[in-house]
Amino acid sequence: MAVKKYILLYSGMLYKNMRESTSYKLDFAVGVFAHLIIQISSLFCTIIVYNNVDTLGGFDFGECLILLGCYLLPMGIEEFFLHNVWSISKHVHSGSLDGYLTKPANTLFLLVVDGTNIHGFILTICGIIYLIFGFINTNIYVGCWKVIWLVICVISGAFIIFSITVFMETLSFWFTEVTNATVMIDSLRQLVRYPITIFHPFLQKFLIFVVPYAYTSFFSATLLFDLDKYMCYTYATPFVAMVMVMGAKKFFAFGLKNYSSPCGS
Amino acid sequence: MKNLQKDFYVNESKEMGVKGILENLIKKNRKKVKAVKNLSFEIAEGEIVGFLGPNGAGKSTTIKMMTGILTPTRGEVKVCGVIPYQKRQQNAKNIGVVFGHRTQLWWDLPVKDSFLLLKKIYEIDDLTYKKNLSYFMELLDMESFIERPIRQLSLGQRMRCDLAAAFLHNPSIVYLDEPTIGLDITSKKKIREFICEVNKERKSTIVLTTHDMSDIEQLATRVIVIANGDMIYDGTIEQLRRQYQNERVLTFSLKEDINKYLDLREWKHKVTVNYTNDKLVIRMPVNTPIKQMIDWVTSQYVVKDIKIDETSIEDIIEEVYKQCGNQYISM
Repeated sequence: MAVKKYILLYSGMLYKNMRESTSYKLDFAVGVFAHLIIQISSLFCTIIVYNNVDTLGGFDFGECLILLGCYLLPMGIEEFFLHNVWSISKHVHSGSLDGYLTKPANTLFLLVVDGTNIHGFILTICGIIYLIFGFINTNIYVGCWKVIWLVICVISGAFIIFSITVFMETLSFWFTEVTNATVMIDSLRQLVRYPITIFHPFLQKFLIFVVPYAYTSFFSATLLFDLDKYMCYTYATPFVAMVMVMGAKKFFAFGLKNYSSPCGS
Repeated sequence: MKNLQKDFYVNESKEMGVKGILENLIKKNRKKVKAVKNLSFEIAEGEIVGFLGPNGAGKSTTIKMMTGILTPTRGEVKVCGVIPYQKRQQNAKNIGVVFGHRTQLWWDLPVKDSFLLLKKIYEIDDLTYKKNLSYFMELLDMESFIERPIRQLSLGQRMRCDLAAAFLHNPSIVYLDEPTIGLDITSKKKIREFICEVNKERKSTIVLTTHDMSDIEQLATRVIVIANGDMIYDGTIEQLRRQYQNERVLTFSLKEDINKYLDLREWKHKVTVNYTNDKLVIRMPVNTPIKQMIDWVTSQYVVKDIKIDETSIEDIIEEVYKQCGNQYISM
């Protein structure tokens, strides 16, 4: 029953989000344009790097394109479906969280579905294009099994990004304004667009065990490259995601107890 | 509700200008404030309770604890047998909320779409939804703007939508935090009529905070006055009037200027007299016979006109606030 309710609710919210995002047509178009520019410039960066070196951390240009694709896919999904989690601190700061707390549905769920970054789909499309070009460049064999695992890893990756953001944003219940801290942690994600093997072992461990962004790109790419060395991490991805989501949910509920709505409203 | 308490930490900054900015960055000036000190009351089904109190008295905080938004520091709250902050979702099904300063509806969404979304959130069945919507549309006169986004509605229209949204799922208790703030007379009237009607029809309990005394006079069957986080009055508005209304004001317009000394010594009751030229203002306690005074004045002067004023509810409330303010200072 509860699941059905949330699915219905989600469809309603999705419709609402689409409606909201498209009510300002110019802004929508500019957003599409801006995202395309960001993607093109990031691709240029990669091309420039590979004009100077043959391999980066043991990976050639084609493999790096695949990695970039694996990096963009969960990011696109997170932006499209779960991005509103970034507004937690805004709602805590302004007190608009009150409205969510008086509705008979999970507060975190309501918050997350109440908004979208509609441009996330551009990232996903770019990701797919990178993957295709990567495959053309590398002649990697991709079977059914790999596709299924890639989908699982991408969805898990989106939830890992989401959970880390929830953890950071939930801190706003104590510190009120935490956007800068969230941005700081989120910027670590920039690192995993490159093979993590190029980093110091300490940083690698950090990205695997502390802030597990490595699972959102690198370990889905190594699956495609048939690198047995990292296979256990790949298979751990959905479990890492589950643990992270549950932890984030608990932490959010814990933070909520400390919520002090602003005065005079 | 028993011995409800809520502490807050507030930030205070003493320095101003650049010094203030630096201080803000480095020091933490936290101070514990008791927003709600020790509140206990019960509300029966179907009552309309008016919450009164000066700004910062703890009204909103109390309501937020009753709605489950805030967790009390100490004490317990129970709404329809549910502890709101523990079983937030269960509690939310029973209640409707309107915050006058902030709409609960979606800014860019047409009103009817917002309602449809609420239908999904509250799991309202089709029949109830249709029935309620047409009933509210008629009662609140929403036909003309139901298809516009909230962003483009006037404050009065928006408040009507918010009210309808709060009652859509037949809640047994509705909290209205300043539902008439910033509205014109006709909008206010419409909203009051709506609240009255729904309360009668649906037996919904209504908890209302407001600074508009006419709201209270026309709606509330019971008044709770809160100041500095303490309850200072709980009862009907008539009782409050009787308790605090201590004087009546008689204003006489006289035919001629007052030129002789008014000798009130024979008047055994305590009265105060002011006069300017042809106006005579006498303030007297409520229990003094007013006719005697009028007779006495008319025997002394030729009177053109008499006006009798009772203390308005605004004055009474002001008096109540003042008294508790003094108490606070003397503590």
